[in-house]
Amino acid sequence: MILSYVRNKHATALDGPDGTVMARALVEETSFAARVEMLVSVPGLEITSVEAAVDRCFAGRCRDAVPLVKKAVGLRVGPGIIKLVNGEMGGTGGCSRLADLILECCEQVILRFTVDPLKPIMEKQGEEMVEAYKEFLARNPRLVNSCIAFAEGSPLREGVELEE
Amino acid sequence: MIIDLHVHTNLFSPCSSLDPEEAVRTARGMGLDGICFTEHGRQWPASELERLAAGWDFPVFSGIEVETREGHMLVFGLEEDQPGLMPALELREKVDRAGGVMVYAHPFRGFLMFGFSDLQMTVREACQRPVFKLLNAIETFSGKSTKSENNLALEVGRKLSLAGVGGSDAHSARELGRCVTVFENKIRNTAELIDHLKKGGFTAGYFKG
Repeated sequence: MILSYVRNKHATALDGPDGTVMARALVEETSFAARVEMLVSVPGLEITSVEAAVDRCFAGRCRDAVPLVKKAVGLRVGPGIIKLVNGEMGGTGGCSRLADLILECCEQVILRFTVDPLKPIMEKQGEEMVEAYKEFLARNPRLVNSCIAFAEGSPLREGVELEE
Repeated sequence: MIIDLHVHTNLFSPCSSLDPEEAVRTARGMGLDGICFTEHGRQWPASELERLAAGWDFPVFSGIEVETREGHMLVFGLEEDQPGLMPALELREKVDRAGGVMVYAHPFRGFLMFGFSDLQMTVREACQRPVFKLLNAIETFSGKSTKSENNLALEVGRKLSLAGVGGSDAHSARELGRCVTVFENKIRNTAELIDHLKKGGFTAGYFKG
């Protein structure tokens, strides 16, 4: 017997005409297929609607868990969202696959806004780029020590004082 | 009396690398007058807290940082651990029964690369969160928030007449004391801390050391 297994995942975020962000995540694999679509308000990043469908699944539990995704409505995409989503709709009473798809959508929303502040820095070169990074770093205490580029000893940290 | 009101140690918060003894030593060395441990979901045993304070002859207080659907809350006055997720209203009711106080921690803390101020959130929009009706105070100076995020919290506090506190949210020694709460009067224990947080007589700000 030849076993074959295929898995495809797709996630994206799109700006809506009314200022909201719509995020979609879907997974398509041999034994499982599901999709989640989420609307998030801006600037509050509150989840205003979630729709989900399980198209293929061996376990009935995942289909039974589809209504649980509504529990994400009202949550804010922000610190603590992983625990919130897993707590509300993952675990033994829910479906971890659907919870993962909701978190994929949240990740897409975050990435949607992550690029904007980096664009003006990336357009610079050489010393100008280093100085732009330093200014950015001085404004953001969460970035300090978040990775080796922003850790003590890095050229990007030289002379940087957190803004107060 | 200058107190860092939001500190995590590695004894009860796995995400922190800050040893409690190191926290007290560093806080004292930098000129703070007290420190408050606010572990994630865990309460410090009173006897441990007293031992630490007595050993260093330095005021050490405690609260808990509790996760709610609406965000992180610093609560003072609850004796039991609060490891689970709950709605802020449920936590408020628990805090009321215990005679404690509830403070919204870093209300507008954003992400690694952007914050709510980058999303052009106005003070009016920021004030709309229903959770603001459940609070004794908000953290207007958080060591992990950007200046613009803290300014937004400050503006919201003013608009809604909510008192503001300051805390570093330190998870390591180098993060300690960036933001503090300055009390007009001396505070000797957590009960007095709660009393002062209810009555007022404090300001928040960055600590220069």
